[in-house]
Amino acid sequence: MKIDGRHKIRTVAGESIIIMQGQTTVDMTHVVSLNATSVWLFERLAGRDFDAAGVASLLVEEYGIERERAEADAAAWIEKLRSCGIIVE
Amino acid sequence: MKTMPNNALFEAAIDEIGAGRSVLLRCGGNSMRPFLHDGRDVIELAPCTPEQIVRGAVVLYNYRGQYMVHRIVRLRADGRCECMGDGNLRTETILTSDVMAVMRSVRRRNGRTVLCRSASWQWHWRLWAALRPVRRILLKIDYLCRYENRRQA
Repeated sequence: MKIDGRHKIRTVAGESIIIMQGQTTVDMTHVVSLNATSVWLFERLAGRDFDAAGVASLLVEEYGIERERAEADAAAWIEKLRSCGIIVE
Repeated sequence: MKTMPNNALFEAAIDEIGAGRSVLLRCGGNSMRPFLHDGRDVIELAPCTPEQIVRGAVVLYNYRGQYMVHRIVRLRADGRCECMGDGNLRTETILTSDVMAVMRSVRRRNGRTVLCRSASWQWHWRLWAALRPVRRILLKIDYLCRYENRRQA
């Protein structure tokens, strides 16, 4: 899976949001707000192919959390962004 | 669900428009009824040229710190224009140079897109403009219909 390259992070009113930016049109009708960890993951994984295990490994390395918890968090993050169309197969 | 502050979203939109892109935004508020419906319609704001700033154009501007998307109802010789929400009764006077974007199209709930240069859109706003003397009554009827719909929902 990968992050759909049309999605970009912007900071609006102190919040990081994802907007869909086409070449000529930007869709701001579905704005997804991200916390700091999500932003970090998004930036690390943009433009790369990855899987749930890879996301969990990044969380373990960066935050030093247990593997089990990292896998659950990674699955939740992927599911959320996939449901918004931000992560695609 | 979290709602972004309106002004903040408009500022992000203006950045994109400044970069030459058009922006899709969901309509918020009732000031453009009956043409635009709160939370239902999606408007496309696009960079504009001076030739597009004409009577009847729906434009984005900042008025006393608030971003507004209202219709130009009168162009004045002194370089100002009077704007007014279709669902409002009072005008805002701005400099023509303060116009930041022009509305190019509206996407309705059924997915149909109406272009602002289409004959249908043009005909409807001209009719609405002609009815301005009785707008207060028409808006009251519209409000009562909405109230009744909400009550039944």
